[in-house]
Amino acid sequence: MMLTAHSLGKQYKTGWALRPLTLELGTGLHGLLGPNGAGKSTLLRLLAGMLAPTTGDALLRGSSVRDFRRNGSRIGYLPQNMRVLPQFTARQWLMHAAALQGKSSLKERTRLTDDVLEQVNLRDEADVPARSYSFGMIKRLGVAQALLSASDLLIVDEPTAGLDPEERIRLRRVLAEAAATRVVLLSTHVLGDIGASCREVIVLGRGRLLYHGSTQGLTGFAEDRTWAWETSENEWRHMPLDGLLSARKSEEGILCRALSERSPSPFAQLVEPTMEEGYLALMSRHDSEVLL
Amino acid sequence: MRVMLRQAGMELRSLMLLRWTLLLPGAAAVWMLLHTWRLRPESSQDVNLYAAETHIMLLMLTTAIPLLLGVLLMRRDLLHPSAEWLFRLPVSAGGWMAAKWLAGFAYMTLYTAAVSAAYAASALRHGLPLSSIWSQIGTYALLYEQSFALSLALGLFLGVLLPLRFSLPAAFCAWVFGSLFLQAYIRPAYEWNWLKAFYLQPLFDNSLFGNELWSFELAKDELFRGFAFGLVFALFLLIAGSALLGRSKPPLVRSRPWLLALAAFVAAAAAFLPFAALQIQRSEHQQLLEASAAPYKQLQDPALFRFRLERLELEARMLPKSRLEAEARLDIPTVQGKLLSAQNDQPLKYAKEGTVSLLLYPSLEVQSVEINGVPVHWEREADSIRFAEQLFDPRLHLQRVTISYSGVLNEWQSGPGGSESYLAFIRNSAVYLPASLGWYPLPGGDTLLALDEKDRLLDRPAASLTPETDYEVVLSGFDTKLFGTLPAGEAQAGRLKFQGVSADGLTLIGGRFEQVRLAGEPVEIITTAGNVDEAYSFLERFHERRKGLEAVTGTPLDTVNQIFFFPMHLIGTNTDSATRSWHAENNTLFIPQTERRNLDGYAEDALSTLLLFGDTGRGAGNARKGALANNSGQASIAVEIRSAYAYLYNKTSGKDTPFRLESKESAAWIQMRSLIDAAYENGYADNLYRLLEQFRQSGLTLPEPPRNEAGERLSASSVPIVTFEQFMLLWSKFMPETSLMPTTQPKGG
Repeated sequence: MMLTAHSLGKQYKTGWALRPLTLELGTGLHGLLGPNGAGKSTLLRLLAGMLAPTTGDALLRGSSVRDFRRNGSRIGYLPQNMRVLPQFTARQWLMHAAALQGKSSLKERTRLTDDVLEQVNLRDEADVPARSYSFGMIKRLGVAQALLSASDLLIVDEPTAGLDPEERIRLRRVLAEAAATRVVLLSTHVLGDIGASCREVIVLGRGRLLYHGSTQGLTGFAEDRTWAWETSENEWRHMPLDGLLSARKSEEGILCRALSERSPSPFAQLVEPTMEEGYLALMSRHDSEVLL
Repeated sequence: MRVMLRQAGMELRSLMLLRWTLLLPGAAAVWMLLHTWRLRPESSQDVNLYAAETHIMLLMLTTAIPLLLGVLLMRRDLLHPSAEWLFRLPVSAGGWMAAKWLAGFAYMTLYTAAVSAAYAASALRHGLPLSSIWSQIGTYALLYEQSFALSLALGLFLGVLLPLRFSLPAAFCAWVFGSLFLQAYIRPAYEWNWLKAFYLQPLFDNSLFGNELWSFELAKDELFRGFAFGLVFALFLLIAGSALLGRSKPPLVRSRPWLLALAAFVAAAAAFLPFAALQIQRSEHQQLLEASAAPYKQLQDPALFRFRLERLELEARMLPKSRLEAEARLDIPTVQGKLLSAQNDQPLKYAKEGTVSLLLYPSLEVQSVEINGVPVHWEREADSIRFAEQLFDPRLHLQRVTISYSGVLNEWQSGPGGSESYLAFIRNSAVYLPASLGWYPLPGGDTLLALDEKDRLLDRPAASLTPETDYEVVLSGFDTKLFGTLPAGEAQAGRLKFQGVSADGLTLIGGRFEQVRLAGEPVEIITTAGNVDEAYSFLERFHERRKGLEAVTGTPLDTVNQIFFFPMHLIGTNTDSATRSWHAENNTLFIPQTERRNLDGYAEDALSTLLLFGDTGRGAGNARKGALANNSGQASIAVEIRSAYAYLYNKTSGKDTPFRLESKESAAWIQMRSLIDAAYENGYADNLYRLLEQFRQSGLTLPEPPRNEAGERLSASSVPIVTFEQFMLLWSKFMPETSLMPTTQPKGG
């Protein structure tokens, strides 16, 4: 395993931001899911070596991610919000990042920079100062620098937020390519991004590790609990909304889907769940456990 | 290191890409040019003097920039909430601090370069030699760079320590305190000299600066100790900042950066010790000097204690570390083994009955005293050397007293408001040994130093220290050019001799001074490189005046052949010190240069008055106030007669810048002027010259006003009393026509 975390936890004065968890991640794209405040950013920053853990440690190829001497130039990190100095162009930034990685020859730095610029579709704007970049372009520049910096581990937090659909698809492809040789950890609220490209998924809730496994395994949480049925508009108006996932108008009435232990309607039938339904099932189970 | 340097390069590039950052050094250069490019013709033409003042303001203001820059370098990117990704670049926390400091320092060096270039342009325009320009640039560049290095480190530290909304105001306050408030208020008020180590810039409160030859030499000991502390402290700030950065880029071993910071703090504390030791040593030495000084209420007229000294032979050697080693041989005339008063009309007063007292500066340690070749027992107490008068051989007229002594002469002192100056010093390239300070044994006198009413140290002027004494002083071991107030012989084998008969003794100055001479003009000016042009044009103007004055007097005016003209605010004890105003010693006129006290018409008048009457004219104000009168209360017209010379010179020369008259429009002067006009118009100018010369030869010297509270006041008998009646008696003798006689005698002076 390239990246391992043993009892990795972070506690502040106000309480645990992330309760001790153990993870083992190999090469490939790993999704990180969880509601706001679940501890995703804390986990990412702990794994990127940008936060000192209260318990345990994260190891990359056997040495701590905070071991600057060994892992200083192995980890790429793209935070949720990114800012660059506006007077530099994308090329200047990336050339500098390449130089810091130890690429001493100008030719090699230029080649690497051109490659990542191409990958994130920034080549045409590469020589324009960043002050004229849109939010999406800055995000892509961030991805490019993280790609350049990450030889072993790439951590990206909400990389697709603010990107148009075309760029999102392009970025997924870039991350998938990067994951061929690295551990890529992708945190997002867009489950479609994970479903489309991740082999494994980690789910956090209220600072706890709720799930770590395949996407199919996550879907499995909604197995035998996902119901679908068609109902009239009048009946739908008087229906309880607990567990209702979706309600879509059809030619004859309204098509409903719901998560429930029991059949929500005499006409409801068990159906094949999606990953999103599996995630929601997991979260609702966790919430009810916490309430109990 | 490679990564850090690359990051530093990037940081510097980011600074350079901001347009305003390049404008600021240019603005500093323009400031320097505005103050040095064109000088007011009526003021000093010494561009180095103006540059020194401009540097004070510029450095005080520009230290704000590295402080604020340090905060911004941290807070605008690295510690900005949206820039945490930068911490994943392969740059360590220490690397970030070092890179940002290096980039900021390189940028701040642009200020040093811009200001230096502007100064060099002005200096070249004013014809300064390259050696002077380089020396000034080197001195001030060092001060700028040291200040920037420390201020930037402090700014970076504050940037890491506090969020932007707090760190910017904190940096502003740090600038106000470190660059202004400590210097202007706290240190002078409490005299906490150790606070100087915490100055962000050392110029604002440094009264030693302003003399291009001596300032750095005198200040460097403290400056270098301050620099060493400042640099180690800056290093501590950077290491502590790196440790604080661990909050965003946690190290593997959390305690390690803090242990390093602790070690740096200990090193900074250790680096403070030499600075503190210097302050303690200075403070103790000043206390020693104060203990040897006469309290204000116990001051006595030194003349009463002076005994005659026939001849003084002195052999002095400069040793390393400001050490002077000397042997003085004094030939003291006695009658039956008793001392003779230097004032013939008054009996000698003994400081201690039956003992011979000589004054020698308290820092100098006496090794032996011999009388007529026989070692004798002596006592050294504060500034006096005493031995029994009965040790003199009553059969001999001249008693030879040989005194061997040595000591360090590096006499720093702190005056009112914390102003600093040196009473005396000997360094490799700077020497100042004033006669009145007793760097060789002086016969009798009261004390060498005094205390004013607020117990502040005062020097005591050098008037008539040793009436009619034949001096022969041989100096060796001095590495720099020496100038003295006695005629110098040729230097041979590293030995320089000063010889002559003098009342004022020998004051020595040393350094890379320029000698400005004009063919045919006996006066030469010893000055700094920045004053050479002004000195030369003064000599040209004065040469014309000399010819005019000599035509009036009919005799050569050659009692003064040397002018010391350079900033003297860094020597002596306080603003009223003898060294801070015009004064003459033997053949030398001292003109302490300031922006407004330069080689202008007033200097011409002072030199003219000195040549004509033996004083610089500073006593004329007192004389006009009616201080001069004879026993029967008739006013003296000495000032009016002196003015007659100036009047006649102006009349004959027709110059635009006349010789200023000392006399105001008094009745006596109006009467005398009408007589002079009438005699002149009737062709009796020569008679007039001869008449005035009679009075001049009999003495028209006015007593100089006391220079400070410890100043020696001349007794009333030394004031020339010439009444109008006496003047008219001689007038009638020299003027053949009765029509030139006045009809009435003026009332009052």
